[in-house]
Amino acid sequence: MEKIEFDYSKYDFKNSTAKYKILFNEGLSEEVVRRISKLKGEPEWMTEFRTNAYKFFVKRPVPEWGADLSKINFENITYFARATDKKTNNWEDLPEDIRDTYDKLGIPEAEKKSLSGVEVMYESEVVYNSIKKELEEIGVIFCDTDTAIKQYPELVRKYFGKVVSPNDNKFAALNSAVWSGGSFIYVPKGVKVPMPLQAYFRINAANMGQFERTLIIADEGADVTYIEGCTAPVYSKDSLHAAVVEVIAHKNAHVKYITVQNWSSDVYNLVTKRAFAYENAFVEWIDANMGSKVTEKYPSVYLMEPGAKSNVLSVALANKGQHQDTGTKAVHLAPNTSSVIRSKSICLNGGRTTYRGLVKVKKGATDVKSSTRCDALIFDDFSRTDTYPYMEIDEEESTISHEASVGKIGDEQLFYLESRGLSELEAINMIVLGFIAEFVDELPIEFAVEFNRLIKINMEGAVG
Amino acid sequence: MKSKSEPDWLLEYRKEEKEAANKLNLEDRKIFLKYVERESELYFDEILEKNKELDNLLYYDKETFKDKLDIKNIKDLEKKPEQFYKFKDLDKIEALINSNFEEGFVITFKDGIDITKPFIIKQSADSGKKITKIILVIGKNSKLYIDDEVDSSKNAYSGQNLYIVLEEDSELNFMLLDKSKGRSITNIRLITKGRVNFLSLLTNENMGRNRLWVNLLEHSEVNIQQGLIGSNESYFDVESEIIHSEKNTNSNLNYKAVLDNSSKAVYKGVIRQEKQAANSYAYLSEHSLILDKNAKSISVPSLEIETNELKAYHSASSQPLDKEVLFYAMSRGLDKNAAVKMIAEGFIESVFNKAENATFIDTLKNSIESKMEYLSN
Repeated sequence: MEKIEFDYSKYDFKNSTAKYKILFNEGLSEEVVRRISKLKGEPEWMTEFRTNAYKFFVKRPVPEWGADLSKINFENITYFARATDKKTNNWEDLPEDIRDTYDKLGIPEAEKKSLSGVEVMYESEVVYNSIKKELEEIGVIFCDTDTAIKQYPELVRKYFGKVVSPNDNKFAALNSAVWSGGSFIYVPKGVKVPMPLQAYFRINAANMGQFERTLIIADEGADVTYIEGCTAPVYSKDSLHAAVVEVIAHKNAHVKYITVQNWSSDVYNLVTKRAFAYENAFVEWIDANMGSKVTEKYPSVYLMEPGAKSNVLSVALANKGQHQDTGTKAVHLAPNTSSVIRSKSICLNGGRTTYRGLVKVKKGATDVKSSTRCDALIFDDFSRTDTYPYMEIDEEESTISHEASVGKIGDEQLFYLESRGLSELEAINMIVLGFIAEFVDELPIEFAVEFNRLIKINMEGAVG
Repeated sequence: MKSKSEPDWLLEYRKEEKEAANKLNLEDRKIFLKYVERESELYFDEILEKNKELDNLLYYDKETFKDKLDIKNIKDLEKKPEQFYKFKDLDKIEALINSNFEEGFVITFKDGIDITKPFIIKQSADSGKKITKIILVIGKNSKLYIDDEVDSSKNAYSGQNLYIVLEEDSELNFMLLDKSKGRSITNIRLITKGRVNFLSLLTNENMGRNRLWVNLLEHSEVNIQQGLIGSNESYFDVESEIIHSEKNTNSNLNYKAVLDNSSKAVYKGVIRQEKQAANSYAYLSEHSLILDKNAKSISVPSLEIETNELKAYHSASSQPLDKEVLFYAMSRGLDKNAAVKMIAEGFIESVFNKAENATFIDTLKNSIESKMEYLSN
């Protein structure tokens, strides 16, 4: 079988680290953590939070139940880098090489289409942040998390680290200790944000860990959609990305969080994403994982109060040398809550996908409904796909269902399409795009176009 | 350790197994280690001496099986039988039993036999421990029925390692019935080139640990129907693992559980299709009916797929009693208790619908019925 490696050069905007104003030596210690905090001019409680988290990080073992993480060397990671000293609100003021990079990614176009205030992350810090007047008028706060700590200290302190505690797992602890950048969003009571909020961010220098921290709060009856998209340049040494995303959806609120990820194939992407959904709130995770060496990501929803709902839709594609260990957790803590989980995975050229999910129903959470569906496409016999759905049910009055299927593209399907004049690759593309269509439907049009293109690029190696 | 009359190879083997038990985990897969909260209750110290004369273990019609089989007591063998090498211990408990079994047999069935009368293994312990190891070798072109009944009384402890090798073009119909009142461990491991129909019904009242491991070789097939009824404080740890290691293999696994009172069941299903398992098909379904708010169900129906020439499906569900069905049954004049029992009975019985052998079906149905009598609602 012909093997074609995924051409990442299209996204290769590698810049030299010489341009960084401040670059910490590789390695981590409590001292480094304190220095990061001091450099950022953070309040005492945050410094405390970071150093506590560092202690948890040291104590916690590297998880062994999932993908192989033994190759991560925590000493070889630069924990903080600042690209430019000043922040800017104006596209034209950005340094030229950074602007070039994002021109290639098509940000100004997205801007033109009035998608939203663009927030660009370059290295560990948000350097570009344009907030539309529209947002300010309706009282929506959308900024980077560092700024939020300075400008809205009470609000941040109330929610920060409450959904994902620093002791949750080793990588959440690491993030809590050295986090930098990320988005902060607060939507006041009853406000519906009219457009999706977007953040583009990327990793750049080799060995540079990215530890962004995103916090989204939707107050009672609020409605917000957030989109994050990642592209990363190619580099040779392993790089670590350990983000934490916390979402709080208060009574009757709706939060939709869309991620399209396409890491370069040397990145360890170990992300903790969790949402609390209160009374009648609705939380959606729409999540695509492509690229990276190892991804471990399980967006979860804790259904805290009656009537809360969750919907998680994810796509994972593992190409050569990649392991996508992804899944979802739905934890039902209150009566009349419901969750829907749909997962689609594709593996080819020796890639490996794993679905690892948990549906948990606590005692007293009556009349819970939960449904899970996992489908996997496997292209060849050196790829691998696993499904591990955990179901822990402590309450009789709950209805839980799970379904999964694994298979290759049917010969008769291919034969039919080829008999209609399509080439084998065109036929495969058509079937795969159909397989993930319900996911693509959830994306804004610009993303959908890019996403379909990425899938097609990956499929080039599938004809054999 | 054991009586002096044992051959040297066996004493050596017991020693090796003891070391293996010290090294091995309670679960062979890391992903399941999360669910071993009560497994330590199953540890036992070595049995220093034979506590008493064992009851008879094997029952079969001497006339029917005449010249058709060969039974050897493991202690009478001069050297280690080859089947010992075919199975590597998977977990700590299996190694413990191998190191401490009190009675063991290697039973070889001849090629080309077709016997509908079941060969019966009765693993019953009245008190103390009863630890056994049995190896069954079934020849080519045969059809055979085996009935494995486990029954231990309240304070007894039963442990069984059962290894089965099935040769090509043969069919094995197997039924496991575990109605122990005491603690019970059953490890059944199968390597098959033929067709296996496996039925099991677990109604343990104390603590049951049940392992079924099937290795499918070329052109083989396994159909598994498992039923489980939990009542009072009973705790079940059930794992069924199907390994498709060669091409053209089929597996079909259906599991249904009814959980009442404070019973708890952990069900781990694994279907693994290895690289050489081209053109294989696997289906796993797992459904639980929960009757009491104190009952607990944990299930992990997992798939591990390493080839693309296959189809694999699984489905799982957990649900309470359908109120409309209950209402209907009661509107026909049944009281609530009877209605619940009737629905639960129907639910669990349906898992055995596809089973072929009438004797087995009758036995299973009777067992379900008598167990249901105990359910209090």
